[in-house]
Amino acid sequence: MPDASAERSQSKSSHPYWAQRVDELKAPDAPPEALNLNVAGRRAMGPLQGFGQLWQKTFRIPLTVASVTPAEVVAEWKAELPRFKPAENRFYPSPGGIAPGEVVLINAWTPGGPIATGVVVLYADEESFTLMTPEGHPEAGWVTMSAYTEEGVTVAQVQGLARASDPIYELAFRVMGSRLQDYIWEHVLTELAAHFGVKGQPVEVDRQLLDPHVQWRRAGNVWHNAQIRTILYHLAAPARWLGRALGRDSRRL
Amino acid sequence: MDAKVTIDIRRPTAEATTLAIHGELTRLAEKPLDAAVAEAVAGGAQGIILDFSGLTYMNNKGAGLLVRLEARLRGQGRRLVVTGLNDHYRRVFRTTGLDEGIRVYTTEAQAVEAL
Repeated sequence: MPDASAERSQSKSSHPYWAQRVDELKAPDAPPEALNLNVAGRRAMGPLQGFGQLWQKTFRIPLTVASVTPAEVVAEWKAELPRFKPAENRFYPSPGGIAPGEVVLINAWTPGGPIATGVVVLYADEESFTLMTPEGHPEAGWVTMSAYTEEGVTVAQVQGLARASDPIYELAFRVMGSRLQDYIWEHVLTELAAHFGVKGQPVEVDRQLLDPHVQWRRAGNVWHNAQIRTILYHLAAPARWLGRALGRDSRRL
Repeated sequence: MDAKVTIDIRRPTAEATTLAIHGELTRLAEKPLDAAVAEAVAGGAQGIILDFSGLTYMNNKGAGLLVRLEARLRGQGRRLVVTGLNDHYRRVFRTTGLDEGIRVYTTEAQAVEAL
């Protein structure tokens, strides 16, 4: 019979919740409709490794009238993550789902054009999970989805802790603001709440500028800029098509 | 819910203060950690060493506390370093990229010397 204190200690260990370190991300098998680009071979980047100002943005929605526990909310959130995203912001989790170390591909459309990128699941427990961005993603950092109880009500929360990855993204965030990002997370929380039968509840938003300085030593992150690479990939489509066609013709000869 | 952490404050030098973390670093540790940092800063600390020898558990929100603390101290011209990480949390620091902004030292003496 196992020692009770040892069992308690082991059950409290954070080991199973954190992703194992990998030097380079591996892209998962993607469905045919997904563009699997800018993830394989990239390093994951945390909030200390980005270029721009460091922001903490918190979005929360009380799940009033729904009698669900935080663990039930997070279980459903993990299982249905792509469903809660806006149509122009597609998430493709790997077959392993939302579990530590798994990769989620992202295909999105932004005012700056299309972008194919992804995130890696950095941490996942029963009441929260954290996604970490790869090199080239617009932000370098973490976004944590969680649920907790406050005054008897279960609250669902998204909290981003991130910098813009490179100078181009920083400029875009400053010029455009982060309205698109705000829209995405407000949409996710509204859809999640609706999933539990809560409608018409406003999303509370809190933005804190934690570090107003940019990190010039990270300006070279622009080399991996996923938006530029995605646009170039699309621009090069005719050349790829021509190359394939010529390849077929040469095999016929 | 109460924080499951206690923080002992030591001053190995006039300019460095060590905060020895005993217990769990989760979102519940935010207030005790902020209070300990405020006390260290009021005492004239230019560098703060987080000693994690007594850390029993750290989750994603605990890691977030460290990012916020590093940014705040750096904005004040102060430095944050850590020591006492076991193998698991040393890996977590590498995986999260925390070690690229918060230097990790094996011993408190090395951390003091680096500050």
